[in-house]
Amino acid sequence: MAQTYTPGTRVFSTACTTEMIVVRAPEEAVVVTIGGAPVRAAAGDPEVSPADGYDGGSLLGKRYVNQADTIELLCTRAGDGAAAVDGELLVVKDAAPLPASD
Amino acid sequence: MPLLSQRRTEVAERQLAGVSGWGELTAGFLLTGPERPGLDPARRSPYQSANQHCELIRATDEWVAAQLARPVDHQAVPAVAGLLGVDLGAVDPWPAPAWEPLRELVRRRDAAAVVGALRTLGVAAAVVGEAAEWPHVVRASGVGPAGASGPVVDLSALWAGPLAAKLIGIATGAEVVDVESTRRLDPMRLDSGQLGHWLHDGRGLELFDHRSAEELQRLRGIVGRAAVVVTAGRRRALSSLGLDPEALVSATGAVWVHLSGYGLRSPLADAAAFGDDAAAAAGLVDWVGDEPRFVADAVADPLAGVAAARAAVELIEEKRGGLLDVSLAGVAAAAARGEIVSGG
Repeated sequence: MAQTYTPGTRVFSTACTTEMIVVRAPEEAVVVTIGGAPVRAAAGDPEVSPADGYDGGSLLGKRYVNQADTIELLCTRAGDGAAAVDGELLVVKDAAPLPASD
Repeated sequence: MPLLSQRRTEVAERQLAGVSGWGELTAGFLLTGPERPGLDPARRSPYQSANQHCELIRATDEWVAAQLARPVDHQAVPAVAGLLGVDLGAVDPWPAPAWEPLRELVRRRDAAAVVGALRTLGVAAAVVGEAAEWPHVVRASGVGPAGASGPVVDLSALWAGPLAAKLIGIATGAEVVDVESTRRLDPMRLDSGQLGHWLHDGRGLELFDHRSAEELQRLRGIVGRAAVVVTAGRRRALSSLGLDPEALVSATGAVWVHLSGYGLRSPLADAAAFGDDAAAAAGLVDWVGDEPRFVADAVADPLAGVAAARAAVELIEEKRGGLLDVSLAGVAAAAARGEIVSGG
């Protein structure tokens, strides 16, 4: 179901172990899925298996964004499902460049 | 900038003593000498680190050191506020340097909660002094066959790792080769300042693309022929390159020096860290009344680089291989207590 998200909101997969945190989100309501299944607001056992096409997995510490760059999710727990927004698979944001100094 | 106290400088001096070729180096040079470009004391507040990327902020109970070094760190602050349930009112748009909202939300929550939220978002942060009691974590494990021969292969970047590689090269006379991903070049090597030159001049350079499986195989070949490998970062960075320190050490007898903020095996192994916040975690700060101040510049970096190199040289002299898991926080905590760190 479409809903609006605010930064800092945690989302949990219903299809795998993946957990993510919303870094940025659009003002409009969107449908966030992981493994092709709608996310929930609390951790729990998987209810379904990741759907075909949404089973590419999520990697700990990676930031995922859509093509329009309006939403960004940070993976805080890895899993077999991949995140999508309104059906569009998210892609890994390029690794953060090193700062100019430590 | 505030210098290290006399006692702490002496600890660093003793750490350097007794290794061949290191006699001309002094703790003063390593800790404060090679002034880095862009460090302008006039432009920073007493709470900022020398590079202005890290700041000491008082939470409701204790002090926090938070590092906003990269654009992604500034972009993470709204989510940190959300995670902590702090409503900062209508902050729209969020300021690109997010220091002011960060200070505001740190002041409203306890230090442990703030640091937990920052770490969840991948931001380097620490409660001042939280790692003060940590033991030395320069520890040899996975000791293999008699020491390997070959170059010192340096996959690390910035300061602590390249310093360790430099010192090992001076002590052993071995060739040092920088190995970097074309997509993640070392800004310090590219820097034209005195420190970048001192660290990297005279080294070989091998570039690879970490997104190519073929290139990663070539990388593992380079690493497999090394006498000493120097890496830095969290475990998952090694795994993503297909690098397995324990396996290499048992296979070839290489010395593998790994530097990270909090070690490969501690409860904080997944936390990001840089030299100033790791020093703050270790309690290696100066107190002015009830307020902490950073000492020197990213001071956990040079301390850890020297400690790691010293432990590596000890192993090499004994013709032993091993993995040295060196944490910036552990070494800085030992230095704050006045202890010498070695491979032991």
